[in-house]
Amino acid sequence: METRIESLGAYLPARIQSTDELIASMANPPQFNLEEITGIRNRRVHGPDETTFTIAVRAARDALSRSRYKPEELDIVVSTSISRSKDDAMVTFEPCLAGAIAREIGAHAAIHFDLANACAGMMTGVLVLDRMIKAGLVRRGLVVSGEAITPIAVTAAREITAAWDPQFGSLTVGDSGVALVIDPAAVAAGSDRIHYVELVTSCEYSSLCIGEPCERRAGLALYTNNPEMHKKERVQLWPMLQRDFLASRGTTFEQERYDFIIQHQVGTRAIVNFTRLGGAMFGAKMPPSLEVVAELGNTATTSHFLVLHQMLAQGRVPRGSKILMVPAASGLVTGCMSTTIRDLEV
Amino acid sequence: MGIIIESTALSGDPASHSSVELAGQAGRDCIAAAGLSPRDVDLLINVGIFRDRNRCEPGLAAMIQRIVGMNLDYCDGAHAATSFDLMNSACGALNAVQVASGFLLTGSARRVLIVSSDVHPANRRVEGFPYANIGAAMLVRAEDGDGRGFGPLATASTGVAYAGVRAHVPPVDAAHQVLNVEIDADYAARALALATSLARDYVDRERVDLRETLLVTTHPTPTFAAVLARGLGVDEGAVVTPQGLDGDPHSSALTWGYHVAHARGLDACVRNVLFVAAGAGLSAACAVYRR
Repeated sequence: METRIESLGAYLPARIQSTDELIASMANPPQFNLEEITGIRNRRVHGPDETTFTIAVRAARDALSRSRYKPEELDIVVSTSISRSKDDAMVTFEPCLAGAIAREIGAHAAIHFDLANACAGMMTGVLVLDRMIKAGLVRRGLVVSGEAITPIAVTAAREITAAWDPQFGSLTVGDSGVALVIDPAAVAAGSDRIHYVELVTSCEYSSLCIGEPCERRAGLALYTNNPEMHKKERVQLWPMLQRDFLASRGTTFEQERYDFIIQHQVGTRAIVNFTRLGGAMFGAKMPPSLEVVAELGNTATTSHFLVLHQMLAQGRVPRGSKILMVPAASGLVTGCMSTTIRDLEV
Repeated sequence: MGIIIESTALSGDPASHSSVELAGQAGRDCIAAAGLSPRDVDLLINVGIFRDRNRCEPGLAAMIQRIVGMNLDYCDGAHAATSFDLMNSACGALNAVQVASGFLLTGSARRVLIVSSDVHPANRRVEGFPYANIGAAMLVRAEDGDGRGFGPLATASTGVAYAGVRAHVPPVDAAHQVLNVEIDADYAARALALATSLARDYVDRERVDLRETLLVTTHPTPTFAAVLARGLGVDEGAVVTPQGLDGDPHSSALTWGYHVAHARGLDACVRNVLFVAAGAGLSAACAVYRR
């Protein structure tokens, strides 16, 4: 048995912030061209009344509006965001967000918990539901992430002093919400399905990217050791483990015949570098890359699924496309997820 | 196939107030107690809530995984292990057992290590912080057999917006050391009512013989376990009460209870362990473990 993405919903806050606007808010604007280096022109920023919770609920309702399931038919709801804002709380730990989201959308019978795994959180949620459905523990469920992550950009704009400040990456993020309903795939060949989803954490590097409340002022901050994080040895983790994983299934990258690849949306140049290195290590031609980073920035946990949503909305994913998603998250988490998209619409 | 507990371990170094260290130490000891190495474990799930510096990224599980020593660097020939945080107040450990079952029953993991610890974000003893300074770990695996292992998980939550406990970080200066925990006056009573009703239904449905059952619960109050036992009709000698702790063991409570029951000799004659958890939300969870 395999699972599939039965429904996909998203929510984007209305406010668009340009990179020029963000730079104008910086105490010490950088001497280099941020937009050119990252390829990010714009990102969305949540409104004053919007939080992780409200964004998640909007995305969940959007997904359920196209699902065959009613909220009360969901067996499980998993919230997977990095940000955890709700009401007046900057970070909420209890009760869990998933329970509040489940109650708000009417999923009263659902098992619920929050899952945190940095930017790989949403893909980890899909992994967990895939295994639970295959094991017969639940029939269907919702993976949701409301990501109100731009407070780290506000802190970075205030505190960055040096050209290669550890908060540099915080300037790339954007807010969004995504929700997925996962259920068993139809038996018929060629129908929507998740062929596999695998994640590996190389924890030696778990301290290279740390997000937590600021030491000095009110706010949240993210500190990344970018030179170490993007070393060739780190970037090689993905192709190495995918090559091993595919070999264990008796196949190769080329034989998988992916139509598209979706990398974690960290920046246009980084995506090109990841994919080029992968191509060299797999010894295979890389499929075209689907991206939204230029207009929506790095949306953290929602990254891959927001790309899928936007591309489906723009009619750029032909029916029957096979898509490879490649996570890259603090931890260090990498892996691969392959899915065929045929009937999924947004 | 049954999901069985292979080993458990606790940590309680009074000098440590780091959730990463406490959970990591318990995890390492748990693997060693089973006579195994970190290479034998494919997934680590951290169910601890209150953490070092209120950290949101990475998953604390990755930092705990590093202390445990599971797959430091895949490029260096380590094995394909992974980890993540699962958060659901004191009920998380039972959610994690169910999630672990999904990985074990599909052959995606050979063993899963469930770890926990709750500390104040200032990483020191803070007056009024209600949670015990311990770490806990439970190692689970699948086994072919005759009904040994965890029964199905049952959960319940309040249909109305009643949280009982709100634990959050306000937008103030130096919030990496600030945690507000607000507990409603009627929380203990309402949590007890929800847990009792869930457990009573579960015992009937799963035909759990309470005369042969040890009760292991979470401890939102020091008397919760004893009162729940009375409500269910469990003998007072067959319930683990929270002696010897400096606070509520919270996300570690079930593993702690299972572990100390053995040390106290409470599990000698029982065939079943009934795990009952209640936490913020309100949320309750219940599962039987057949030995």
